[in-house]
Amino acid sequence: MSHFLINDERCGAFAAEAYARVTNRPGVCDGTLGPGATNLVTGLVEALNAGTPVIAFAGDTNRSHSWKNMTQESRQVEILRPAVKEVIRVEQTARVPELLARAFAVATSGRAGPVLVDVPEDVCHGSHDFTAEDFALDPTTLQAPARRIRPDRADVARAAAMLAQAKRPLILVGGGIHWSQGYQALLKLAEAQAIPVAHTMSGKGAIPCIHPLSVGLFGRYSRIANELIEAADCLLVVGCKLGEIATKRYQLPARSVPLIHLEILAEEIGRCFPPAVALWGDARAGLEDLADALAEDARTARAQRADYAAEIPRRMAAWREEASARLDSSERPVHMARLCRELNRALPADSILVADGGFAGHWTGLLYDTKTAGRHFIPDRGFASIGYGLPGGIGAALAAPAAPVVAITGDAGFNMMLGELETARRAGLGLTIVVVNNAASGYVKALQYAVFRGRYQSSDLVEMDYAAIARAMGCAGVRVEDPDQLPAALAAGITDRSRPTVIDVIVTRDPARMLPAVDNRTIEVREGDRPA
Amino acid sequence: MSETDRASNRPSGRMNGGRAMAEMLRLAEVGPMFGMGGFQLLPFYDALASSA
Repeated sequence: MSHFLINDERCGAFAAEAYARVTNRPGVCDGTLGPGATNLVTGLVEALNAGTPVIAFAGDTNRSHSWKNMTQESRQVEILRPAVKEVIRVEQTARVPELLARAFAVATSGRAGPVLVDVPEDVCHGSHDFTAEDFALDPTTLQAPARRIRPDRADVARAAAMLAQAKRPLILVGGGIHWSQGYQALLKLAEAQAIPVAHTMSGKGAIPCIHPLSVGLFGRYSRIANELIEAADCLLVVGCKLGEIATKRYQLPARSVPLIHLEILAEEIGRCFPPAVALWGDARAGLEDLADALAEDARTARAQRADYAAEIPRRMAAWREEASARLDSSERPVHMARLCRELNRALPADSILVADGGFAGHWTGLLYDTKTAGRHFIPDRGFASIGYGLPGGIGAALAAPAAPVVAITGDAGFNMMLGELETARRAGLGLTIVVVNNAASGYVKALQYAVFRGRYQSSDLVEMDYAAIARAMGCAGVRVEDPDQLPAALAAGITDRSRPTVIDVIVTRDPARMLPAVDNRTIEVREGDRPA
Repeated sequence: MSETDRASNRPSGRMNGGRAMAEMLRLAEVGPMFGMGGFQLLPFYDALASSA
């Protein structure tokens, strides 16, 4: 069993969360009494919102002295309770195995999530005579999903009838596809019925981004997907909450378009958009059932939608042509789109790109292409905290030791987590960390440019040389100021499997050009919304 | 491990709560764990050290 000392428990929770995403098995972290426990909050909320199975242990006070001002004592269970799917407080040493079995069951059943196991000092230090039977575990609960539930048969039939009639149906996929491991079922349905697939940031990798039926990211940022949503006559939403970013603050899709919502958490259905048909169940199971229900007429459906399906690669090519000035940019400082293009070129199919919250995630969410289906792009979109990149990379690298792992993070997010570079080095991880260095809290600065007429307050950082910092910490460090240096820098990082490599990429400092949508000089700011 | 192996690998006898935690995680074949110790959970850390 391996246990890694981390420098901040938040990072431990992030690393455990990323490990779970790659393996579908519960990630495990712990924090000691008080500050150790409360530092877990941000990582556990990420897991809660993203549906990630995590088991977190917190040490608690010795019950002989609780509530007598013991050092580091707080109402930690109350602080953590809304951050997890369930709190399990262990009151007897004898019940430790039983309650850990319960923790696995809660973490992996239904919509997966984090569980806090709170262990008082006297329970952890106390002894008991156990029998072998005390240590029974249900093996189905050791990975998510523990069990699968299929949508109601009559609902599947209604949904299939609706899809069969559609001329321009579209599948919108969220992160639930990964938890369900529904890749084959999705591809089978999409190809058999000639239905294009759009994805959220969390849903990237549902089908390969380079597949001819992939229309890319939808929502706040989009290549061609939003236009296709507007022109669609039926939407199949799979494992997606249809939250703010996926819907451009609830502007998309139009309420007039019939929507089929396949979702594991029943109460999420209809929360933001009323569905015409609700399919409550596992994504893979539901997609299999829909494919079966539509199988008989698949040939006709494909023929009828042949022109529609052929549109997708054509439109994607046109988008690429339009975006080529940015994707191929040779400007200095480095254009974010060029960085994404170089990531697309450098990263092999089995690699994992971990994307930090903030604009590093938005840029790569829009422009990074996964080459195969699966967990090859991991953004922390549950809570979108900055700082996830490095610890998420640590968890992913430990989960997939054979795969190249690259973590992309902003300089502000990296500043939060610098200490964890020591953890990554100590663990001997050949992880590559790309720091998007704009000497700013980029998203905030871009908002201050767009909405507050360039009145910048507390959004600038001091220029740092993260490559030099990495070298001083015993890691490899490369500073990139010219985009033509990127291929060699990325290749070197991916090749060095003995220690972390930090690639410090100097990107634009112009706040008008920090966000991925368009040049923000032409941005439209709408009341009640925020600019993209 | 197979279910037969898991069953035959179950521990028994007198042990502290921290060791019982570690034994369950061993049987569950969990991956790497991440944390920072404190007195309350040190029996758990001690059990991890002796299982390595």
